Amino acid sequence: MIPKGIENADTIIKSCKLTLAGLDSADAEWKEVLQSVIEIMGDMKTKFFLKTNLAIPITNACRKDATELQSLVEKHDISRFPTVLAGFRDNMEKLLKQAKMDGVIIT
Amino acid sequence: MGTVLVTGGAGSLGKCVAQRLCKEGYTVRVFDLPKMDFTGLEGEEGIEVLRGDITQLTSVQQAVESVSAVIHLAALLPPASEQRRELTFTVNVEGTTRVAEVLKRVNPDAPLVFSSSVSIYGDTTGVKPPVTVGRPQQALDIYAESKITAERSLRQSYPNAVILRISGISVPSIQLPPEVWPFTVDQRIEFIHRDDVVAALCNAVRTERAKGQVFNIAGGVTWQTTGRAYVKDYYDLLGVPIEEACFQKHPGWCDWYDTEESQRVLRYQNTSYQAYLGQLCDEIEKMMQM
Repeated sequence: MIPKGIENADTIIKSCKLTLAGLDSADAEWKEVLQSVIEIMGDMKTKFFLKTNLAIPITNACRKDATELQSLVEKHDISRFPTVLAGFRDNMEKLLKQAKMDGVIIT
Repeated sequence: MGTVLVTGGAGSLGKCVAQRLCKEGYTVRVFDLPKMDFTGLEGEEGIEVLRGDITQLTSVQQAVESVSAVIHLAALLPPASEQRRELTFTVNVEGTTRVAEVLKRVNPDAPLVFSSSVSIYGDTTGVKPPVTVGRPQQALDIYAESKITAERSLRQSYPNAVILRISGISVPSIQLPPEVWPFTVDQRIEFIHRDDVVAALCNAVRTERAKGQVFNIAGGVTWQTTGRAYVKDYYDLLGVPIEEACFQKHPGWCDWYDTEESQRVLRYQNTSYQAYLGQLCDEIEKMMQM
C-alpha cells in the first residue's frame, strides 16, 4: 500500500501541473511558485518523512490547497487564486520544516 | 559541593547534565568549543559558560580552575571520529589526559567522571550475555579505539576517576532513522533513555563509593531486545513497514550488559523501555497536531 503522504504528494504534483497548464502566460509569478512546488514534492517523495504517519496532516493540507487551485483555474475564477496560493505556500513551508528540509526556498 | 565542570557541556547530553545539576543546586561551569550553541545555558543562574578548546592547555587550566568536580563528556563522536583519526586521538585521548592532569594539580581529590562507551567491547555476539566490565576490549572503529586508550591513560593519571561505559542513547524525540541501522537484525541490543544517562553521570559525581570504579551504563532488562524488535517498535509508531529498514550485515558493538553493580551504586535506571515508547507516542501526537 502506498503511504498516504506519498499519495498526497502525487496528487499535489498532478494538481500543480494541471493548474499550470490552465494559467495563461501573464501569471508568471504564480507559475514559478507552482513549478517550484512540483520540483520540491518530486524530491520529497524519496524522503523517509513522507512514508510516516507524521506526514499525513500537513500533506493533506497541501493537497487541499493544490486541488483548490486546480478547481479555481478550471472554473476560470481566479479572484481567490492569490489567497489560496499564499496559504499553499505557508503549508508547503510547514511541510518542509517538519520534513527537516529547512533552507529549501519556494520561489 | 562547589563548581562542577562539564566538558562538552554544550552538546545534547552535556546540556541536560548541566541543567539537571543546576536544578539540583550546583554551580555548573560549561566548557565547550566557541562554535557550539550555548542556548539554554548562557545567562542561566548557576551556569557559567566558558568557551575554549580541550586540546589547548591554557584553555583547560582556565576550565579546571577552582572546580570541585568534573564530568568529562567532551569527545569527537562517530561519524566525525571515523574521518579524522589524528584529531579523534588528540581530543578523546590527549584531551582526557590533559583534564585529568590539570585536575590532579588543582584539586587531586575532586571526583572525575569520564564518559566512555560500551563500544570498546567490540563484537560480542558470539559470547553469552550479559557483557561484564571485565570483558576483553576489541575496538571496531576509531572512536572505540580512542576510548580504550583514554581509559588506560586515565587509570594511570587519575586512578580515582569513575569510568562510565555508556550504551547507545535513545532520545525521546522523532528523528530521521539512519540509512543503515548499526546492528544486525538479530543482534542483542540494550540502549538507554537519555535522562537515565544524565542521572548516572550526575549521581556518579557525588557517590563516594563510585570512585575508581568502572561501570556499564545501559537501560536494564526492559531495554534488552533485538535489532529488529527495536526498529519495528519505532517504525510501527511512525506507520512505516519494517521492510523499509536497512540493517548492518555484520554485527556492531551492541549487546546486553551487566548493569547490576552500576544500578546498585548509581540508581539511574528510572525509565523503562515501555515508558520511552509512551514518550515517543506523545511526541508523535504533538507533531500530528502541528
